[in-house]
Amino acid sequence: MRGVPDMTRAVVERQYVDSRFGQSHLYRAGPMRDSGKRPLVCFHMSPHSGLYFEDLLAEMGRDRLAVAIDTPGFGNSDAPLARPTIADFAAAMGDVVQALGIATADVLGDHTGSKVALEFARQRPAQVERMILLSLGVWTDEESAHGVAEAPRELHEDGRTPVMWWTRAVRMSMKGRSIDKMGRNFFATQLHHRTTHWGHVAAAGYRAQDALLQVEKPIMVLNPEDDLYAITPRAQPYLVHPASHIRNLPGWGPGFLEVKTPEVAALVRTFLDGPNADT
Amino acid sequence: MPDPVLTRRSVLAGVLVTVLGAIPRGLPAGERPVAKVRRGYHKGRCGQLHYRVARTLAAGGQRPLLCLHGTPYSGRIYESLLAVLGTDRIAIAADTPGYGDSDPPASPPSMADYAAAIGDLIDACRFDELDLLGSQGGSALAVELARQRPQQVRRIALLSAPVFTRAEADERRGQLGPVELTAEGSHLAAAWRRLVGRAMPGWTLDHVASQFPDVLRRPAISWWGDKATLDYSLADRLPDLRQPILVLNPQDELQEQTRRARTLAANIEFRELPGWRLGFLDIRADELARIVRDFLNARGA
Repeated sequence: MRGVPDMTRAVVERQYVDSRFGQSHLYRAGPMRDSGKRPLVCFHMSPHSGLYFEDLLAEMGRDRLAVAIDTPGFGNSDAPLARPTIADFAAAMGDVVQALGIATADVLGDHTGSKVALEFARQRPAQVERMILLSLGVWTDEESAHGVAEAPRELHEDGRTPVMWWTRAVRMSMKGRSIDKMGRNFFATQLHHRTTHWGHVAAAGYRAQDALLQVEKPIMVLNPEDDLYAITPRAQPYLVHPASHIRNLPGWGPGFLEVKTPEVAALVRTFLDGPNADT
Repeated sequence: MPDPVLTRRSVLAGVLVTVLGAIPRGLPAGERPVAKVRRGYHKGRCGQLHYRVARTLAAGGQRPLLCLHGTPYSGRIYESLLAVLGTDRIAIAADTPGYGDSDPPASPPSMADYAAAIGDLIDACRFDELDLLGSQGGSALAVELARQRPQQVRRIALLSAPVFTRAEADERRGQLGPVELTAEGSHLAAAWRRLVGRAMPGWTLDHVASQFPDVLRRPAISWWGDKATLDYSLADRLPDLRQPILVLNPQDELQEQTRRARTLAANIEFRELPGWRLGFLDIRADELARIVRDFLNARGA
């Protein structure tokens, strides 16, 4: 009953492993044989889930193990009992990486996931080689305080809450992102409605500046034209490794992982596997 | 990097560990017994099949129970019930292929196809015998599974039975098709209001919000399950079964169709559930568990 497999993409499969907050769920793709390349571990924005990386995993999985983990309380991963910090999220991700038997990896984060990636590298410096951050909220203390005030979603009989989330996503998406593609992932933004704001609250309370100074890894920061376009460049003074840099992506907006998958994969491979990759 | 997780043998072992070796949860003094619900995947003919399973160390003696959902929902609808029934048996809820987190088939399946795919999970669990619980379209799936596995399936409980007349099936078939997504989100408002409109008192907006994401999955093919149900004549198939069957008739959109099951065979026990509407699986889980247990544990299976 299965269709003919697409040989140009790796098959993306799902899996549960146990972590400190219960079951953690992940998406994974990889080549049939060990390629010798380091695994790539991806952390998603909030709300959303590892499904957000499905196209990128299918592409990167052609030559390495590529994994995207549902953050605790998102996707199919069990939620912590109390509101977590980015450090809690990162520690649980460490449990997952350990359960998968990954010794060293490159990590990629997106928005909230960028902070999870930074904290993951801070907690496990020996396990991380290179990092890619897709947008990074480098907030002032005043801006952080505003984010911490986020509250659970309000629900209404007429369903206006999911409609609001949908229309906002439609409005913000970059050119070329189809409604059908959005429809594939949208459900993940509607899961865990009581606690889904925990991701933004944790991200707002995490000082990326401090972590950037402590993480002495090569970091490529990609800066698409999204809600953090003017904020992400604030990371520049805190990039300590000589190979670290920020790359602006004008014209790329929300949905670029789907619309520009080959281009993103090329950028990622060049940075992770290029001639200076061992610096 | 070697990928030991995806070998056939380890996948089978994974199912057995998750289903048979789930971690029991302690019972705080004074609280009603509930079992921890865990989730897993089995790799079958339609790709990965997602399931939920509940059991405790005390779960022994009673036959395992496999629960099958209606569409476009998922095994999530049974989470409350699994936690209760998992205290004295292994209680599993599978996501039908194409729903919840189970991979979709490549083309619209028949009810026999769906049943064969669910059968892969039963085989992986190595159950000698089991009971089935179906809901709405999942009731047709349970009947077909029992037909395919007459020796293994011992008792069958159905929450609504879609016994359509030919005219009803033809009319409903004409209304099937992909969900049209609109930029302004009218499809979301319609899906949300449909759940709210069917909810019984006590099933809150929080409950609706928990169920809602499953309704949004795979809008292009979410009608496939309904098509298989409409193409499957319960009126012809139910009388073929020799197992004891309990048909429960909640006050849902299939109430009239379910009533037709009452007289289809002598081995059908029928019970009306007036006032039970969408959400009874959550807010009447304890009462439903008692009814189902009384039936499943009775002699004569």
